[in-house]
Amino acid sequence: MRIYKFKRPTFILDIKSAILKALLKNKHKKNSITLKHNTIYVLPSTLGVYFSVVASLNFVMGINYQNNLILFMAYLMFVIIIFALLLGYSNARGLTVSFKYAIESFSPQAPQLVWQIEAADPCQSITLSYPNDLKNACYITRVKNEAIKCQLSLPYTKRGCYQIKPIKIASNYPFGLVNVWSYIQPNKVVYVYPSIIKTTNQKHQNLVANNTDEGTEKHKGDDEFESLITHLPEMGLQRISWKHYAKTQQLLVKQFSDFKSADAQFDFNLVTGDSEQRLGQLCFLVCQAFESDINYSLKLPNKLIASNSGKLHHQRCLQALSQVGNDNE
Amino acid sequence: MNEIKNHRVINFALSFIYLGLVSFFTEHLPLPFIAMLSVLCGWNIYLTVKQKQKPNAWFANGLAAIALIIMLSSIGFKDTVVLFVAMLLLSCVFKLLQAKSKQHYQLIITLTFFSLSAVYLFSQTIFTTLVISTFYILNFAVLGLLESSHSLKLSSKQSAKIMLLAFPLAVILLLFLPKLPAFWQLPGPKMAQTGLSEQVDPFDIAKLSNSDELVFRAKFNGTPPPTPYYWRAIVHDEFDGAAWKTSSFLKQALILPAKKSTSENEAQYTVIAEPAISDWLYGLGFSSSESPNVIANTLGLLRKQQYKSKVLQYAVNSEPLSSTSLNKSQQRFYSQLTVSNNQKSQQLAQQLKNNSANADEFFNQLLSYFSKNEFSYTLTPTPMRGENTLDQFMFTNKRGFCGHYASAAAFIFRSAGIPARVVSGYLGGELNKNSDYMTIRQYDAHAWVEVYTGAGWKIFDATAVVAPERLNGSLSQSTTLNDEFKNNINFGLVSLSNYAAINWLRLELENLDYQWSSWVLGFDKDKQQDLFATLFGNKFIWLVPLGVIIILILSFTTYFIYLNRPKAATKQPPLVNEYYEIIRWANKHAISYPENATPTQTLEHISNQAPHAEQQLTAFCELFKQVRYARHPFTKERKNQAKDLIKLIKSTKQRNL
Repeated sequence: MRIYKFKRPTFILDIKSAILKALLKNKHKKNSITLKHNTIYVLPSTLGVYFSVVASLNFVMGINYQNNLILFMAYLMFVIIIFALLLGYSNARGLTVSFKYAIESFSPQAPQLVWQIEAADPCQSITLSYPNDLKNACYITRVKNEAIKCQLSLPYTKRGCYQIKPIKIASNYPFGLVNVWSYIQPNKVVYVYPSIIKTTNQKHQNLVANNTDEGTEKHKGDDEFESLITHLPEMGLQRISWKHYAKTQQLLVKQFSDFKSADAQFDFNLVTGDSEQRLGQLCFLVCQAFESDINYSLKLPNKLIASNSGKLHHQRCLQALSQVGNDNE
Repeated sequence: MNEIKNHRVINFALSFIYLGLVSFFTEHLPLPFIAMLSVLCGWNIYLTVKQKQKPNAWFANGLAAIALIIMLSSIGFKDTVVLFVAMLLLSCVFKLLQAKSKQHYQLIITLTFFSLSAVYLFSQTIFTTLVISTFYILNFAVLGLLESSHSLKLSSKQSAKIMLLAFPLAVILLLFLPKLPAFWQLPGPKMAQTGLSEQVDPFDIAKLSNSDELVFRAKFNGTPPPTPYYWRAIVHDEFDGAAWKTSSFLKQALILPAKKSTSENEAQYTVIAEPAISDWLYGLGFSSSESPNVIANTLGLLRKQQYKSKVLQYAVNSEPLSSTSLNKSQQRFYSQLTVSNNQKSQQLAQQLKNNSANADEFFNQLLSYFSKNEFSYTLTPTPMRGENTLDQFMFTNKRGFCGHYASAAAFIFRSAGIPARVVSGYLGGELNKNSDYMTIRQYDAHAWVEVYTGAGWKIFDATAVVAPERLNGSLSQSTTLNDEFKNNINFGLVSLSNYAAINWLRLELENLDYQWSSWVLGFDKDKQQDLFATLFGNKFIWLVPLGVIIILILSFTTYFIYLNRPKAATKQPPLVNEYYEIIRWANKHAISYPENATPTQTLEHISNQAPHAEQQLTAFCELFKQVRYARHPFTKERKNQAKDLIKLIKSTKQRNL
């Protein structure tokens, strides 16, 4: 029941996280956790504390007026608080939270973590939240026999690479009188890619758009006729060019070729603007290249990614872009 | 999760609770304030039903300031407890009117747990307890609704369930936790004033108390003393020309504690007095009590020390009044008259005095005067006004109730120089045959005269000659006054006591209420010690706290185990569990079988690899086919057959090993 909001000084938060780190050891550094006695923490919530205060007030009133009914109500409240602690623990016990994968994002969008939540026994009111970010917490009313998937947004909107902090699995069941919680910390890094800036930089644009055969490598393919070669027995009869046979009485085979575009090279030094702008433009180029499925390499101030194509390469490039300047993280 | 899913239901339920709470305080809080709270609750319900916006903060705060002024002006600062309750209610209702976030609602709900208990300060009847308990469950349900998206019904069910589980433990705590004395003195709430008053002026009221409210109950130890029972409460010693009052001198004297009585002629009984604003208690004759919280004074009257708001139980020893004697100055004090009106009555006193030799003779003459001169007893006397009201009564109207007779008689005694005082209290009472206790209600209120005739105080009650049946039993049982009484009294069960069934019901309810007062409300330190003594004997008292702790720990552990018990497996179709048992057996003995085969295929595989049990396995397979596929009924015989087969399968393996 926080009515007056005040901001806690940062050193308290630091101390808190240091204590947590020391206490939790590595119990929660897993990709999947099933809550049980040594990983569940139970304490009365703020409401629970207020509830106990009212119970004590009732007790004092009952004693002072020697009123059995008020006294009874006070005892009832005390018993219920203890029941709530037991209920809260039992509710969370057996809950399994597993980290599935991360959805990385372009700044200023926040990356998301995808979780799967299962429970042996029905489990109510579960909240997954990232430290200091209750706003985006992910709330699940009830987990029954089926597994539930949920997405948790992380509070990272700036370009970068972030180690995931311990994520709180909490429940206020029952009546919000207790806080039952645990942590899970997958050993995983999430990236926030630079925000995309459209660029018309000619040098790179040309490279992407240039599909002429000038200076490009030819691959065997079926787009363009290239030459006639002698038929070999293993080639099969269907490939023989009967037109040429009719003219020349030679068994010839048509050879075709693809024009594979030239490898694009995206260079940090070739785009203009400050470093964030440059990264944004590179990001745009990399994505465009990925969509057009061409080979590209990426040259960054202290890193060179060799030419390649495909999804993994694309991801590697984007991750490299997000890490520029903060390699320490 | 900060948004609330059941906004409307929560609002509605809380408004309903507060509306109910307010109705409990109608007697104790001023009407304008009650009306204001009801309107606020009603407004909140209206906003909820119509799904309208709650008033904005500025408007609501302005309104709250006005409400605060209304509250302070109508209640004032005299009664701190009432003021505190009023403030609690007002703040909760206003907070509810403005509540938007979850935190707001949580604050209101927690405070409601306190507001609910506050009702018990003023009323502790069974009815109140039932209603307040329902509100407790409802309040808990609302607390649960804040956290979930259940319906109110489901939430109430859960709430009732947890309450029911907690109930026996709370009872054990109440019974066995040592009763602590009050930490500090708190002001008690002032109760609505009904019944007796410090001033007996029968002439300004036209109707006697028409309330059937319970005043106290009395239970005699052993045989009850002979009737009539005059339950003394207040002594009035000063006549101001119209009314009899308690003089400030007497009030001073009343503070003095009485000496311990030594008489053997004592009646012993226990009184359970209902909460009342006044501090007087009730006793027969010259009473003394050793109960805590009760003071006995020199007039043989009992007074409360504290806990006015509580049902008070105390033991009384009573001895006849006649044993006290007066000295000269006291005699003068009780025979003085400072006014000289009501000349006719004074003349009557002189006339009677001349005809009688001593005070006792005067006593009898006055009694016969009342019986011979066509006086009658009525509950609805003609109002009398002016200077000489006593004369009007004695010589013109001759109709009245106890107050009239007592005032007039005491005046006449004093006019003749005989020490006399008016005493008010209650007369008689209704005996409940089942539980052997007397019930004394507000309509049993009575006033009479005590006269000092040299041989101690004597009771002079003109009612005894005017309406003799009034002396024995309660007014409700009096036959001649019955009709008048029933017309007079408010509609209730007493007014319907002519019907046997209703009368039976009334007496049963009364009995229940008596047990409630005596056992639940009156469960105090003494009763607790008695309970301990009967349960554990005096030697093992120290076991009690230990026992409580053990019981608590045991109950919590049991509950915990119950919560975490392995849930019963979902019911399988027939023979499926048995089939799995064979699979487990096969796994144990490292018999392999294909993973994605049908049960019959699997069983065949197993039987091929376990030739020693082949016969039984084939039999089981047949049975399985019959029951699962051919839809033969799964009878008890088949069930037993399956069990036997499994036993055989297991045992064959063991033998071969």
